[in-house]
Amino acid sequence: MELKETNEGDVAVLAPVGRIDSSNAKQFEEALLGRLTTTEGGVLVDLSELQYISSAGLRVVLLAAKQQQQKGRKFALCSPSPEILEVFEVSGFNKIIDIHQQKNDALAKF
Amino acid sequence: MAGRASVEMVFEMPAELEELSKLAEAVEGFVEENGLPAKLGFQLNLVLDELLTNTISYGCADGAQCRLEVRLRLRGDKKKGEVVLVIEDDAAPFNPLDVPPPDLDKPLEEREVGGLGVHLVRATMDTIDYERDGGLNRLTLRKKLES
Repeated sequence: MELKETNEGDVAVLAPVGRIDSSNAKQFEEALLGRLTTTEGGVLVDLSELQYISSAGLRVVLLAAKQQQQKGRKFALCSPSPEILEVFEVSGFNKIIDIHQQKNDALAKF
Repeated sequence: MAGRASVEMVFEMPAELEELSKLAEAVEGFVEENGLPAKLGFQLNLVLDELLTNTISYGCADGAQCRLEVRLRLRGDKKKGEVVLVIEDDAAPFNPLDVPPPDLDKPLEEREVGGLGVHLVRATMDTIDYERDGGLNRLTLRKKLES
């Protein structure tokens, strides 16, 4: 599981690549939450290269959203595939986390 | 191909998380061979991942030597038929239908971080039945194919 990073102004854009399931969710947790402890600003998780996510990965996304909220920092998701968007919606994440179809739209809200 | 009875895939595996990727490949192969939508492959693999991860991590913990068997059947026409998933294991008795549904209306700071796996399974499949048969857990899950 790779977590790519780019910076757009003071927003860290983190893009998990491939699949996140119970076999590698711990790695994703260490990579994402580890990055949150060193960032000063907002975080956008770009899902465009993510092919699959199970509840083990959803847990990590929720932990990240909570941590950013506690620090008063913005957190959003962008560019999910239709299948992955459905997983987020069924889990009710669209009610508590900003999810944008387009990366540019997401960045405009930071 | 109307009137065709059914095609079936059987996959047996030891209770190891590493086996799940082989199962996922087999499911994707089955979906492709039978001309079913790729989205269905994603959904079936999500359901299997969630249920089998629970069984392997909890039901077969403490070094128990569990065996898992997954049967995936396509019944009837690929446009109007259904897929039937039967999962059997000899792990500790566990009925995932007993897991309480998560509260999806809580604000972010109050949302609990776990408990979504079985919820995803319920939301994805049309019907789920559990039975304890001798020393086996048997889950039967059905999903109608959308035309």
